[in-house]
Amino acid sequence: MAASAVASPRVHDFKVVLLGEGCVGKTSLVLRYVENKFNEKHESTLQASFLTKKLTIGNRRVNLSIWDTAGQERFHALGPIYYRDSNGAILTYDITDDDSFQKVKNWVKELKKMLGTDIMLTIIGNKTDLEKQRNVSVETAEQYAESVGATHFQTSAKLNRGVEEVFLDLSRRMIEQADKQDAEKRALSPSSRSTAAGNVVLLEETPAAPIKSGCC
Amino acid sequence: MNSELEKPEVTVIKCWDAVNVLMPKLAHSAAIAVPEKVIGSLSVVSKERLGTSLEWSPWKEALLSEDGTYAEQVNCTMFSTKTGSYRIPHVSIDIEDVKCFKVHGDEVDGAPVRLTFITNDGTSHSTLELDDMGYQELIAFLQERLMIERSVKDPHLCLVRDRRGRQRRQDLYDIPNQSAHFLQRFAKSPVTTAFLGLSKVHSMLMTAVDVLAPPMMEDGGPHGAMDTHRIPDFQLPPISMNNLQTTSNDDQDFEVISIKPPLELPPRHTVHRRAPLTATEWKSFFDSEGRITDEHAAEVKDIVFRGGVDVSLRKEVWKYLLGYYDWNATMEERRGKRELLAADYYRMKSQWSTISPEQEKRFSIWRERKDLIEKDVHRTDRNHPFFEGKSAALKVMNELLMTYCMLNFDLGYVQGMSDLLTPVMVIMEGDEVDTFWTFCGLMDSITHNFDMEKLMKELDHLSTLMKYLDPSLKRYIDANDPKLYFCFRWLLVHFKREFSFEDVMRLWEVLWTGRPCKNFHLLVAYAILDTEKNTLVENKFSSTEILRHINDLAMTINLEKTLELAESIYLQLIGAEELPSSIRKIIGLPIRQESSSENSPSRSSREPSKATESQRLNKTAGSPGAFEDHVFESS
Repeated sequence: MAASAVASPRVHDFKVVLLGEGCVGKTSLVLRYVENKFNEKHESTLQASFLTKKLTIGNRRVNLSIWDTAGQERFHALGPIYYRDSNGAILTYDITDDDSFQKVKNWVKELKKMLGTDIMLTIIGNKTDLEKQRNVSVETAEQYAESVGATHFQTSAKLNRGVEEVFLDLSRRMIEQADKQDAEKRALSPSSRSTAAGNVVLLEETPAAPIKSGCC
Repeated sequence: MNSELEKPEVTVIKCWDAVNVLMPKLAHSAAIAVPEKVIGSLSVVSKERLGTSLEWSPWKEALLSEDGTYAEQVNCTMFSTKTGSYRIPHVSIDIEDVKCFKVHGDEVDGAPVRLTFITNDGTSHSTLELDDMGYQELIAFLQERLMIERSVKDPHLCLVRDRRGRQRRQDLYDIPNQSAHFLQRFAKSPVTTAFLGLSKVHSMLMTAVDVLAPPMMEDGGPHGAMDTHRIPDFQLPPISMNNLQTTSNDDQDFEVISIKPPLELPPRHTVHRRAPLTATEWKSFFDSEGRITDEHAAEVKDIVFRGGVDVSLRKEVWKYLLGYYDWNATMEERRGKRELLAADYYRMKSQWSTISPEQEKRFSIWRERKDLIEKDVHRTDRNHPFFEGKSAALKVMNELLMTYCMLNFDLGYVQGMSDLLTPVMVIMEGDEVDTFWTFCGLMDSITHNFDMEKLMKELDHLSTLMKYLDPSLKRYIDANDPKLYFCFRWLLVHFKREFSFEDVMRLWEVLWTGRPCKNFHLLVAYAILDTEKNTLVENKFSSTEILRHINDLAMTINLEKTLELAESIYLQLIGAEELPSSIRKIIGLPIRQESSSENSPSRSSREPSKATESQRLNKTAGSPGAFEDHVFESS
C-alpha cells in the first residue's frame, strides 16, 4: 500500500522560481502554500529566499524548492541567478495592475530566450479578492498564456483561493517534462540502463556523488 | 482538498513532556509581552508514507492559564490577549531530513540543554530546551536511527553522516529497508566506525605533515572544561585540526588534508564594549555657546563606537552623527541652518505635491515612483507601534520618500529606502524636517548601495577581505556562491532586516561614527560569516543551503558579540605585518609604495624590523591614532 512498495518510487527534485513585479504577492503565495500563513503587512522581499514543500503525486514523490525573488526592476539583474536551473517558473501579476501584467510578458520573453522550452511556465493573476478593481481581463491573460504555452491561474493568497492548484498543476507538468527528457535520453543510449535522468533520483541507490543544486 | 494529499495515519512512538521552545525574537517590541520560551511536548511520531518525525507543540493547559485565548493553525498556535497576539511556531522535523544539530552553550551536568536542528535544505528550526535526561534520551533515540558525529572543529555542532560516513547532502524521503539495517549496524558501533575513518586520516597526516598541531586533549576538546560526554560515544578525535584545512574528496571515504598556510595575522584581541553615551557625558562636551570642538566630537564618536547612544539622546546625537548639525556650530547657527533647511524641504515637497492629476497622466516616471513608494509605505515596519495602523505616520513616510525622490531624482525610489527611513522617523518622532535631513545624511553614506553595480563591488570587497582573513572559507564559498549573493540584503540596507529595530539603531549609530576604519560594516558582515563558518563548511552547505541559513539568521544574531568580533578582526588587520594594498584600500589605510609587491607574497622574506600597522598608527597623532590608544588600553 505504501508508495515505497512500488517498483521504482522516484523522488523528483524540482526548482520553481517566482518572478513578477514588486508587490504582486509572490511572497504571500509561497507563504500561503507552504505555511498556510497570510500577512497583509508583509515586508518587501529584498533578497531571494526559498521554501521547500514535499508532495506525493500518484506514486511520485516531489520535492519542491520554491524560490521567492525580489520584484523591483532595480533588482532585475539578479533574476538569472535564481531562475537558472529552474524546472518551473511562476510568473505573477496583480489583477488590479496592468503594468504588472506587462512585466510578466517581459519575464516570459527572457525565460524563453535563456532557457528555451525546458522550463514549465505558469502565469498567475493574484489578488482576486480585489475583483472590483480588476484591470487585467481574464480573457486577455488566458489568451496570452496560451500563446506562450503557459497555464494560467487566478489566485487569492489572502483568501487561499486557487493556490494549491497552481503548484499541483505545475508539479504534474514538471514530472511529465522529466519523463519526456528521460525517454529522450533512453532513446539516445538504449544500451545503458539510464539511472540518472534529469533530476530523478532512484531511491534504491544511494548516489555516490553529492547532488548539486537543481539536478544531478 | 485533493485526495492525493490526504492526511496520513499517525502513531506516537515516544514523548517527552515539559520541553520548551525558545520564542523567536520579534523585530519590534510589541504591546503584548512575548515570553522567552513556551512549554510543550516533544514527540517522535511515525507517519504513514511520510516516515518518522520530531514534533513539538505547546501545552494547551499552559496557554489557557494565561489571560488569553489560543487558536490552532497549520504550523503554529496563535496566542492572543486584549493587547495583541503572537505566533508560537510548532516544530516538525522529519528525522531523515536532519542534517546537523547545534548544542548551545557550555554543557553543564544537570542543566537544561538547548538544541537547534538544521535540516537538509538548510532550515534552522526553533531551538528546543530539554532537561538533561530528556536530552540524553533524545540523542540515544536519534543515534539508533542516524549516524551522528561531533564536528571536529566545533564541539557544539553534531553532524549526521550517511552510511558511508560522509556528511549528508541529499534529501531522501525514506531509506529502503536494507539500508536502514545497515545504518543500525553502524549506529551500534559508531565509535569504531568514526575512528576507523579518522585513523585513515591520521595515518595520512603522519606521513604528509611534518608539524602536527599540538597537544592532545585530555577530556574532550579545545574548549577545555566543556564536557563532551553527554553525547555518548562521541569523543573528539585526539588531534586538533584547527591549523588544517580539509578538502572533501567524494571518491574516497575519508577526507584529504593539506596544510593551511598560516596567516600573517596576530591573534585576536578581546575587546570590550561600554555603556551607551549618557546625558551627563553629552552635556559636558558643549561649550557655553553650544559648540562641540573637534576634539570633543572625536571623543563623542569614540564613545558611540564603543557603546552607542542612550535612547533618550538619540534624537539629538543622531543629527550630529548624520551631518544635519555641524559639531562646531553654535546654538544660534544651528537654529539658522534649520530654518533654511526647513524652507528647502517645503520647497521640494511642493514641487511634487502640486503635480495635478492631468500632469500625472503624462508623467509616467513620476507615477511609477509614486506607486512604488505607496506600496512599500504600507508594508514597512507595520508591526512597530509607531506605524501600526497609524495613517498619519504612513502619510508622513510617504511624503518624506516622495520629497527625497525630488532631491535625488536620478536615483529614484529603490526598495529598501523605506527600511532605512523608519528608524530615523521613530527617533525624530515624526518631525518632517528633522527626519528628512537626517535621513538625507544617512542616504548620503549609503546611496551607492542602490546602484546594483556598486553594491556588487561591496560584495567583492567582502570577498577580498575573506580571502585574506580566511582563505579556506573563501575557497569554500567560491565553490558555492562566489559572488556572495547571500549577503546582498545585509549590505543593501545595512543589516536592517537581520536585527531587531532596537539593535539596528545601535548598530547604525556605531557605523555612523566612521570608526575604527572605513567600511567597518564589511567587517561586521565578515564577523557574522566567521561565526557561522563551521556550520556552513562542516555541513557542506551548497549555495541554496547557505542562502537559507543566512536568511534564517535574521533576529538571532547577537549584536554586541558581533561588534566585538568585528573590532577584534580590525585589530588583527592593522596588526598584520604586511597588509596587502587591496585590504588597505578597503579599510581606508594609506597605500604605501613598498607594499606594491603584494602580488608575490613571499612569506620567507618577511622583515622582522617592519613596524606593524598598529604601531605605525600609534606614532601618527591623527584621529585614528588617538583612537587606537584607546583601543589597546581596553584589550
